[in-house]
Amino acid sequence: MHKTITLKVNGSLETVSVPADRRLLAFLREDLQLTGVKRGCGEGECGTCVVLLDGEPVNSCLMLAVEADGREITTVEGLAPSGRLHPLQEAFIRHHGVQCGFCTPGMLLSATALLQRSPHPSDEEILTALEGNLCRCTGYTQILAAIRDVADSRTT
Amino acid sequence: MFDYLLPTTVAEACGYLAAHPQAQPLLGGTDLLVQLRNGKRQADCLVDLKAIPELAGITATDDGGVALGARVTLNEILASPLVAERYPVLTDALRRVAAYPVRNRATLAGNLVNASPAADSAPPLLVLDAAVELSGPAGSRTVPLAEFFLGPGRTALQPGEILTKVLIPGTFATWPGAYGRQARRRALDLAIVGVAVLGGPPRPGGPVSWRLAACAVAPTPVRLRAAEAELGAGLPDDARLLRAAALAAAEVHPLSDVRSSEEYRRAMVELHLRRTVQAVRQQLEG
Repeated sequence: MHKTITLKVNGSLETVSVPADRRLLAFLREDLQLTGVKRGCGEGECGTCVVLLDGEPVNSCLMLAVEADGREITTVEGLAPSGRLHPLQEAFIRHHGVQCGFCTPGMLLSATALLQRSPHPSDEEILTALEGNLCRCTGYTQILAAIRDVADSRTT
Repeated sequence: MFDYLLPTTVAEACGYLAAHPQAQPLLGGTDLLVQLRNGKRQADCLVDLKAIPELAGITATDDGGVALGARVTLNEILASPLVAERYPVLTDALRRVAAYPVRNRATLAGNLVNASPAADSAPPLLVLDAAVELSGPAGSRTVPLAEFFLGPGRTALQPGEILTKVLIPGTFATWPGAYGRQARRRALDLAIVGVAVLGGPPRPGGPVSWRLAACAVAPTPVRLRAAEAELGAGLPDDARLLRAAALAAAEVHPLSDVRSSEEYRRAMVELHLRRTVQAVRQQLEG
């Protein structure tokens, strides 16, 4: 019941043997120690476990690790590979878009994918992109301001 | 504990499913993995259909309609100019399902096979007279969607059969349509009520007919025949629209559950039918 998979995680190629029924979330957190991926509801309702699959956000609790075979995964750790913060991370700090921080990795990844596919999104587009990420503190207004700031300061 | 298989042909997938009754087909997994986790469903093996080439793609059909492969995700459908042009009622409903990251995995086929009474994709497909192609060890057959749903979680699928395609005929292509939805919040919640409205054909001054369906108001998604009959032909005035909406509230059979009481569901059917028909009527007038 183990499968061997090869996938790229935050730029590094991994070939590993995983149990067939292991969720991608458990694989990333427990096997690869990428604890920036948070476990919230475990059933696709909260968005704290969002990672990028080939650049698009998905809930890692709703995927098996074997389904990521041959794909590329980015977690929040991959946004600042050299230790230098991503512009969105800088903006979240500047606008106080982080309170308890539990929703932040998912928020950052959903926002990163949004700005990739739509560099200058409307407010409506930002809301739609973030509709799968719950914040209970709640810093929605500051999060929107942070994303708006990064989008507006882009020259292309 | 379950095993995982990744077949590359429909025959291989159906052969395995037919021989292993405890196996389950897997598409997006957004319902199935949750059901497995909370014990609502059991499986000793998941047969992943996502590597089968013939289940991919959105294609225009000879009759002016669209065929959607079982692997197609909700976000792929929402990004399709062909679907947006021909079936606005479908895109209006799908953009309300769950949330963006879930729609990157969830499929239309999976939403239908899951057979939730609250499946948002069902009302638009019912008003469009869609059918589903089912393939199994005995071959393929096409079943009208109206005959596919048998009850909550129950469908016309036989053991070893999988849903391979959703077929939307060209009959109602480009007809204006909209989806009205009541939920506790905008995203990530099941519908308390969903109402699909299709009106057309879109010719200024020409005759108009109406097709209506709803979800979360009966054991399966349903057409609203009494309300359709009351709307009749042409553009209804407000008095007639109010009578039709009242008939819709009377003809459904909702449950009371954690999301809503039966009375509230009836009231919301009435409200959303009225608002959604008004929105489509405006498009037909415009």
